Formats: sequence, C-alpha cells, structure tokens
Amino acid sequence: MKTITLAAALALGFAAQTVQAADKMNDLEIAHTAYTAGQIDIRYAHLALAVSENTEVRAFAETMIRDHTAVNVAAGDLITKLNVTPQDNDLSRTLVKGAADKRAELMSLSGKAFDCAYAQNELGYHQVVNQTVEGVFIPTATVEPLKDLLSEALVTFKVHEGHAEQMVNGLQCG
Amino acid sequence: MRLTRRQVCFGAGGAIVGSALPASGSSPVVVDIRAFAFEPAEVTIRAGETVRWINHDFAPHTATDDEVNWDTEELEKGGQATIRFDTPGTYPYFCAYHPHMRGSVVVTT
Repeated sequence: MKTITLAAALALGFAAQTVQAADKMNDLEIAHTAYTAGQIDIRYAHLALAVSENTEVRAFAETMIRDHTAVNVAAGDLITKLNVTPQDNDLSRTLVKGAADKRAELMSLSGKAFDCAYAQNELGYHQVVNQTVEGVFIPTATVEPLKDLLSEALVTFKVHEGHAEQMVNGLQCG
Repeated sequence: MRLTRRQVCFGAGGAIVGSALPASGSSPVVVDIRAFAFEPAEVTIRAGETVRWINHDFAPHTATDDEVNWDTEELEKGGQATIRFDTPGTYPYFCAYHPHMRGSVVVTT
C-alpha cells in the first residue's frame, strides 16, 4: 500500500497536467498520444535492459518492449486502414518532455537505486496513462475502431500496472 | 494482422514439432487467450486428443508446460497452436511472458 501511495504521489502533479492537457483532444491527437505513450515506455525498457542486472526488472522491461510494440503495431495498422495521420499535440509534447527528464534522472543511477527508480516510475507512469486512457481518451474518442483499440490496449496496460506494483513491492525499496 | 499456426505433437518422448498432426478423430479442444487469461483455465481431454490455443490479445502470449516439456512458442494476436497429448496426466502450464497466466490440461485414458 505504501508503494502505491508513493507512486501515486510522485505521479500526482504529472497526472494533473496530463488530464488537463488531454481535455478536448480530437481522435487524431488521441491516437498520436496513445502511440507516443507506448514508445516512451519502450524507451524506458531499453534503458532498463542497458543498466539493470536484476532478473525481475529485466524480465519486466522485456515484457514492456514486447507488449507495447504489439499494441503500437495494431495502432499503426489502424492508422493505415483509416488512412489518417495522427496529430502531435500538447499532451504528446508534455509526455515526451517528461520522459526525457526522467530518462536523464534514471541514467544517473545504477544498481538497486536504478531498479527502484525504474520500477516506481513504471508504476506511476502506468497509473497516469491508464487513468487518462480510461477517463479521457475512451470517452472522448468518436471513431469506433479507435475506441475499441484503446479499450483493448487498456487491458494490457492495467496488467502492466499490476505487474509494476508487484515489482516495486518485490524490490523492497523502502 | 499476423497469423501464426503451429502444430505440436506431445507424447511420452517429449514435444515433436511438425507441419501436420496425425488425425486423432476428434476436433481440438479450444482454449482462448483473452484479456490475459486462458479460457477455460482447465480442459480435460482423452489421450491422443489435441488442444488448440488461440490468442485474441494484442500482447503476445505462450502456453508453456511448467516442466517446459512442450510449448506453443510465441502466439501473436490471431495466432494459434495445436498440441496433441498422448500420455495421461495433468499438465499445468503458464504464459512465459506473463507468468501469472496459468492453466492446465488434464489427459485421461
């Protein structure tokens, strides 16, 4: 419970910005941001594989790469099918900027300090993304295939959130 | 959508991967992989019958024997694999990518 509270607290300020930036987005902006969020987590995972020697952390990172890649391939297929171009937007830019700052922070760490920071960030990140997808993107999306894709992706992301929570607890970061 | 089809024969000597299975005389029992769960989680078949796993999730999954004697290998969305069980017993399995996903195949005589 402590880890949930900590991660939630860390994510709180970012979540408020995220939900605010997500207000009144159109379908193409939502698609862009959903895709971007997946790419960001893939980059975090590659960093974890480059730095961490913890078996659980590495397994989690490999799962993030595998699953988010699969979701983004599906998103790409939908974009191709609909013949549309996703639109960059304030929320995507906020996510990218926040992720760059977080990667810089993570890169200064090693060992258990890195593992704990990565795990806590994964928990907080998935909490914020899931809250945004479920509370804003799905209700706001108007194109049914996009709504379906987001709903199915949310199932995957919620499993990741649970997995991240287990990882944080298992690492006993204190 | 990427479709994969794989057929595996699992007998006393271990898993044998081939391009086709000998006719068992009955349709495979289907296990759907959906929302990070095997549905149904437990299936019962007679020796010589087959189980077919079909992945409906975006995330790739596997059905992997706890003892790693058989494995569907990676199933992408829409992918499926069929395994024949010749030896009676209970075969618990899991997804190698998401180990909380568990199921079992019960093979009777």
